[in-house]
Amino acid sequence: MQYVVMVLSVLVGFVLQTTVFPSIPTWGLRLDLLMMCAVVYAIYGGRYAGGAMGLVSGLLIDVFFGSAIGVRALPYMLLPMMAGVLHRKYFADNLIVPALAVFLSVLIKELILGLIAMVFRIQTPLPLVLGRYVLPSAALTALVTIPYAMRVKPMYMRQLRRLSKYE
Amino acid sequence: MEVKCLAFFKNRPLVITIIAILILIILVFATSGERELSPVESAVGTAIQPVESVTSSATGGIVGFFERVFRTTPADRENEQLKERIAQLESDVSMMEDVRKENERLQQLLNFQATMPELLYTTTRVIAKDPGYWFDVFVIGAGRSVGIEKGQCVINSQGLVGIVFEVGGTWSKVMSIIDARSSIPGIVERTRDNGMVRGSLETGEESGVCQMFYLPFENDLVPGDRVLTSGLGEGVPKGLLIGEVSEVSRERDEKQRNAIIKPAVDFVHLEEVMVVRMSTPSSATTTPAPTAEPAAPTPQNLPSPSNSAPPPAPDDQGEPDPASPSPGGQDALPIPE
Repeated sequence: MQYVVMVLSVLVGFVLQTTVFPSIPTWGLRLDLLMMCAVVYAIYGGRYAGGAMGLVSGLLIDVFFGSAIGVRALPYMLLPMMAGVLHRKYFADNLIVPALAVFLSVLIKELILGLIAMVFRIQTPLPLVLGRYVLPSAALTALVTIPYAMRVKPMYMRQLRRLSKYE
Repeated sequence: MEVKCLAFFKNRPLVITIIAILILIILVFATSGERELSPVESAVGTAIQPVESVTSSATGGIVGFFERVFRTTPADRENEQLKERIAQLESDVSMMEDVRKENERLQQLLNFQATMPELLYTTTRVIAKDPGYWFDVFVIGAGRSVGIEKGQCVINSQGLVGIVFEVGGTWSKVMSIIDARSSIPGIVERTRDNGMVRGSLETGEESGVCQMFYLPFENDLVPGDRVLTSGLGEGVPKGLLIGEVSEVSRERDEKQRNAIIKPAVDFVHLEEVMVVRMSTPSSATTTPAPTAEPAAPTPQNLPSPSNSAPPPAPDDQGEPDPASPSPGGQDALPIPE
């Protein structure tokens, strides 16, 4: 069941992020649902689950929009894996942690992509784009993470309780 | 030491992760240059393209519907008896409005075609847009099967939109002119000065801008001057509108940046586009130029498996048969005669 939900999350997130959201006027802000899903699953389901989700998401974006395969797949895989460090580290009803992890992941991913663009000699006004679009978008994604994490968390709670019992 | 090594290899997820990272790094370098889409990429795109296409088409209608619902007056909302009826009518109007707007856009495309009858056009829809900030790429619902090729330019009734840079079976990737990697030879309509138009992120505007480089220093550009394609680039016809000059820099130490161009195309509301290819002189003479007032397209003209025409058969010159209608298939919209 968890795998089905994971695959569906990636597909729905990808379709929403690339077809629906660009049609809605949002003052340049863009929700990163794919990163959100991957990080939340990494925190609740473990770093490899989140990493796999991120890898598939990043590859989809690379295939559809990228000129080089792997540029986005790498941060989409590695950042959720890093967020997976939080897996089993806290069990309270704290939803701020996933939101914060998503905020940082989105921020770092855009920073990495901006730096990659600079490496390829693309004129990149990093502070301008980060300040005007990336930071507010990361904050918006973090906000949306809270209700999403509330939905995902129960799926993993039983597993988390069982694991904590044996530790 | 040996035990540590063995323990490392026993941690299968970690080994798989490291292998995945290495493969991805290799892929980044292997695929960063000029290349064709691999069969796997093409197949993945072809599998997901119908979902994106349907969602993309539906989104316009849904967004339009909600926009209209929010515009309803409080008096209308209070009327309980009429509420259901209004919702029904709103839904119908929304659908009709959507069709009417699409009609208008297609009509504009047809009128634009009439101004440049020497070109061959394939009309299609934008089905997905890059969700990132640094690059401006979008996907169109027409590919190799309807004759789309790498390097062909994409336009709409407002002007030049971008260049096709990778082609799949039923879909293609287009780099828009506001992408910082894009570079199009342009000419200022009034002064006839040549330059290079590149996408730019520097102003940070959501709608995107371009910059025009390599203009003669003594140029007398003024805001409002129109910039067209010069026709020097391969696959980009001469005379397509790129945009208008919005700002000119004349400082001597700033030798490179000469003008900021506001693109003619509204990239935020991009829906239907046309892929353009230049016809040979012989085909240009036999291509029936569209009339100024062509029959308005109806929902029946819109793509469906039943009205999709097969890809055009190449003639002796390797060009599609000019007498045949515009190729249809997937999301390629047939051009009404």
